[in-house]
Amino acid sequence: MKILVLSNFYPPEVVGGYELACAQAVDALRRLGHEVLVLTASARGFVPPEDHVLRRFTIADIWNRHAMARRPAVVQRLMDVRSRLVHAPNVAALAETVADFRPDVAYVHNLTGLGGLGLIAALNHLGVPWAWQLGDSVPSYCCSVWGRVVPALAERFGAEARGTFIAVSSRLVEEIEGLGVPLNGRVELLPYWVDGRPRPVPRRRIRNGPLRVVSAGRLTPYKGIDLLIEAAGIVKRSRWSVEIDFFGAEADVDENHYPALLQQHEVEDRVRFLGPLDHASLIERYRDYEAFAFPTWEREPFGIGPIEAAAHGGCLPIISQSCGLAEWLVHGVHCLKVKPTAEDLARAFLDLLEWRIDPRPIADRAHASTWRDFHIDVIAPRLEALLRDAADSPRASPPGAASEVVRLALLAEGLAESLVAEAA
Amino acid sequence: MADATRTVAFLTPLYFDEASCLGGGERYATNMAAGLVEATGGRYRVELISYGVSPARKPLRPGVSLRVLPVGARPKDPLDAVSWDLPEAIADADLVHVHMAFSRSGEFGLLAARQQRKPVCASDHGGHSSWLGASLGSLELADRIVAYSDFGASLFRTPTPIVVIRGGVDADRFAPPEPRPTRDRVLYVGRLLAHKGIDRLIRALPPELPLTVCGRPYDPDYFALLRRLAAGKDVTFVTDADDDAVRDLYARAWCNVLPSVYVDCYGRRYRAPELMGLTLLEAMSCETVPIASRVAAMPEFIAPARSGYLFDSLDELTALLRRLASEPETVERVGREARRQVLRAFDLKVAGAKLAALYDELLESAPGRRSLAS
Repeated sequence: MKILVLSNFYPPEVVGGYELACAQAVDALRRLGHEVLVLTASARGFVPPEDHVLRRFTIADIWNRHAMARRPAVVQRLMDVRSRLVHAPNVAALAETVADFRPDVAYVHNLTGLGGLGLIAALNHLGVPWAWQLGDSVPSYCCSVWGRVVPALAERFGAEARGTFIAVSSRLVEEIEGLGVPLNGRVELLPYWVDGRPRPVPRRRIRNGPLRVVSAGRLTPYKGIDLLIEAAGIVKRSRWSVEIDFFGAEADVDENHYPALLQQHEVEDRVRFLGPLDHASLIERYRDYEAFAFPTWEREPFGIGPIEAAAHGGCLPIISQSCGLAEWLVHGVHCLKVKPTAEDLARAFLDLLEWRIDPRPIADRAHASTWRDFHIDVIAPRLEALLRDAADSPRASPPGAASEVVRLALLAEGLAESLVAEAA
Repeated sequence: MADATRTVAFLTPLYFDEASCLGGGERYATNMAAGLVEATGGRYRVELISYGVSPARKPLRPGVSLRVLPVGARPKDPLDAVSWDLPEAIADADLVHVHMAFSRSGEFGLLAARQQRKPVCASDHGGHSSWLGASLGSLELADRIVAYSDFGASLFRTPTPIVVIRGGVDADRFAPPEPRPTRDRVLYVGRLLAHKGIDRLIRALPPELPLTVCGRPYDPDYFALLRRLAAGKDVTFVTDADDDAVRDLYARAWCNVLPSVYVDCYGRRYRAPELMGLTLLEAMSCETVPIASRVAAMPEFIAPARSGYLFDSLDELTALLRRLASEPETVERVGREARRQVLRAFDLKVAGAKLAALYDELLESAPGRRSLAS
């Protein structure tokens, strides 16, 4: 098949697991013999060219809160529209690429920042069947203005955006539909995956501590970072020791937030912020820890970190019982599931330290399970089958002209801009 | 009336109602909807989609309904109203006809309709509030342009085919009453706006003849000017007439004058002061003699000296008014021919049949209509 992959970022430009998973899937589909072309945003720095990657999209970067705050309100609104609804140059880039590459199917990943609604509408208009890898609530993002889903827009999305949705958890599907955005095409659940090759993991002994815990990703309160720090304090007061290392960039809080929290819970000697690492280095570091803690907030769609740590470092996954990954792992068999509270996290740490739970067999089963069930080469044939089904699905109407798609996008963008300008 | 098998959405930023706007463009859309339904024996159904502060639906006539979509924010220009609900509102339509194409409402309509792969027609009623679509060639998103005069058609710059369908007056509603009242005045019917040239009519009015000026005063300064000009003459202003009152006025008038101008009394220029002149046709339908300035589309609807008169100067207009006031047989003869012309060519059922033929053609060729051409 000729597969056109759409993603806002693509390695080495990454925000999180969404983009890494995209690249891993691309590599796996290429190993299966498919012709894959990635259309993504231009990189912020120099990136060596790759034959199968076109960096033609432009990102409306609305996530940089400090930069956004300095912009006039009307500019912020315009960027919001371009990020979520439509950005005509990106539609033009898509139309040109479709005309040139003539894909059998589009494999869509994260469209935030690209004017995703316009891109999906353009695929429909150009008659390109698509399958959308949902690692986050992107459809609801694309049906939103200024952070709020527009019901009429969401209703039309449900009526017109009929493709294949590949969601990483049922709670993600429920979340998207709960926001009023119907997913009316084919909806399939497939977990996210790990890549690489297994190798022996170190045998470790937790008894008497300290328990060495790692957490990685976006370091922000909603990922449960504050809870972990508080839990470390509770453990310390119980005269046990848990040492937590955080990898990743701090976000959404000012620079004094975490130092103050460490002081408050008197765990400056137990908790370290080690900054971001590239993916390969991070995976290598997992071998230094006994557990990966992932007490993220209620709406985490999946959570790749814990299974990567289990696969590459033999770490025991300690995960929020409400995260998407919890649907795929069994408590006490492959992981420990906790409520995302400091008390529950501390209880889990103490259960391991005081030997009420033997972590080794659970970690071993998690390690084996990730390589057996979550490896991309195991999942790729299922992705391939879904993409082939999408490619073979009958078209609702004949394809529209690329010139018309671009004109529609320009008109939509111009109308949105005129409305934003008038409201300013 | 047969069960409707085809539904057409007429998108119009304003609709003919006190709550919206009482203009010819708005009346035209309503009339064409009625004509389409009547001409096809109910095979077509039309929903007029427009905008307001709060949502509403109501039937207007058999087969014609009005749906008012709530605007998110009130725009500076009412032609620029849009609503998130529009895509859903047109979703069940077989075809979309966008009125006021050069407005934000029209642009959004073209976008939503084409995005949903509907056959689309577009019309311009002279209201231009946005140049975005024109700058992007938005009319090329339409399958056909429907103009209601050759003059109107000449204004479009687009490769999209243009179809001229003249008329659209309701000849049943605007018919001479029985018994017929005495004709005793000159009449103007229309909005009281400067490009209508009413100031010229008052200036040309012979002092011995009465004039009734009937219409909504949408421009207070211009209305004040008209009242000043009328001082010392026999001019009556009627600003709240409904259809029955207007029809009665037509029946009582020797002639209905539409003295529209390219350059108004303030020096402002108009590219298309009249794309048709619906009140002329209403008057003709009531056997009242139409008189129009030789401007824009109006000459296309009047056969001079047979079904009405055209004038080039105020002296000419003055002479015409005096002549008609003193020649009842001329008024009767020209008036009769005017109505015959309306029934033959400009009645809404005649125009509706032409519109139905166009829609039928588009709907029957709709599948596979567009291919990947570029």
